[in-house]
Amino acid sequence: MMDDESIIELFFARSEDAITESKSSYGRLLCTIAVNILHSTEDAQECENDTYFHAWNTIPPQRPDSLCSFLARITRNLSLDMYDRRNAVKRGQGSTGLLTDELEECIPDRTDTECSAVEESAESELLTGLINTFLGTLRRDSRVIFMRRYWFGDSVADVAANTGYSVSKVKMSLKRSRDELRSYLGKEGFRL
Amino acid sequence: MRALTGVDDCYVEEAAKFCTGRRMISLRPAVLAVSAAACAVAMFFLAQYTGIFKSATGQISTVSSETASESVPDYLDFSGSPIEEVDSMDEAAKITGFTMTAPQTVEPYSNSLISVRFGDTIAITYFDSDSSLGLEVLKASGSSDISGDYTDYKVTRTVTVAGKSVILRGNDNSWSVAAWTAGGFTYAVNAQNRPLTTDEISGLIEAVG
Repeated sequence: MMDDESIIELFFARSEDAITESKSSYGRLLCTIAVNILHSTEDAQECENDTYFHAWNTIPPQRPDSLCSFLARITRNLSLDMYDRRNAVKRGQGSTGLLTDELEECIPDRTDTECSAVEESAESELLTGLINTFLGTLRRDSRVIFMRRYWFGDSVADVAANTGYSVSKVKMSLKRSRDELRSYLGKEGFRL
Repeated sequence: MRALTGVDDCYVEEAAKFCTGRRMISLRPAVLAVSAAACAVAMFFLAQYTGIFKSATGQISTVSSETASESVPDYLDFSGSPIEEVDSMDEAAKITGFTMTAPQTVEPYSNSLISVRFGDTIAITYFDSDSSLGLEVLKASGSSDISGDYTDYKVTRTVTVAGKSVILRGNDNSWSVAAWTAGGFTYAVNAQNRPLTTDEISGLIEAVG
């Protein structure tokens, strides 16, 4: 597998090998993220392909520090957008709805409130900063479990399988992390 | 869900590439035997389901299920793993092109396992008799931090151990991570589950090369 720096240079050189190499290195990861959110291989493939399209259009001028995170983030956003479009009426459906329900224990969903777009954007940025700080305080195993569940969308069973931890440890770790995050956001004055 | 999208790259990458080798640890003989038995049972039922049977004339024929199973596309085939367990350091050296010296056991862990991660990193995982993960020692070419741990520890200290400049990270007088470079290679010790004292981690680092 080609290293990230070389792949990014292919993007800068406008070589289509950049797409092939990105797919070779990260295609599986990107599809995991998309499938976890959308539960459809066809939709996941569409998101994966769109990810490469978006990457092609943004590199250059962007030069990501982490190609893995850069691509994964695009896929996650595209998948969430597609999920929202297809579930605008039926909210809370499927396991993505379960993920949202779990997270709302500590991070309330503000999309139904009457905040303006500007207020929502500012609050979202503040929240992301707080979550970043919070993640830095977690032990590595707790943080990985939290990220695999809520960022990558893995089921609890998949988190356990991917990390080698037991299902009960994963569940306990997630519950503890959610409780700690709620407490942390409350102490930081974030409106819950 | 959206608020999480903007988290730092390092946390995304850490979770994407996290592997403890525990999956390999869990594939011990008892588990393998149970898996083999389960496979045999599954094969039996599969034969029934696909209707492999002898016709009245004694000819064997098959009737395929009306419900065709969807084949798994390549990009969803997760049967491969980034971790390859090996039986010896010689095998690890064949894959990575280099070898590593390290103790066979580290107290209080009575077992160890060698693996190669992503084809370029040798890992020795030390664990208890009940397969609880103890600590791991990693070696790869280059100079970047291969610990894979982006925790914001309270204390970071640089110490010299056997002529090597080592960065220790941890909380409350115990160390969860050590990282150093020597001779064109980068090393890391991960002891998050049971952080080590300075003496313990220094002793381990002296024995690794």
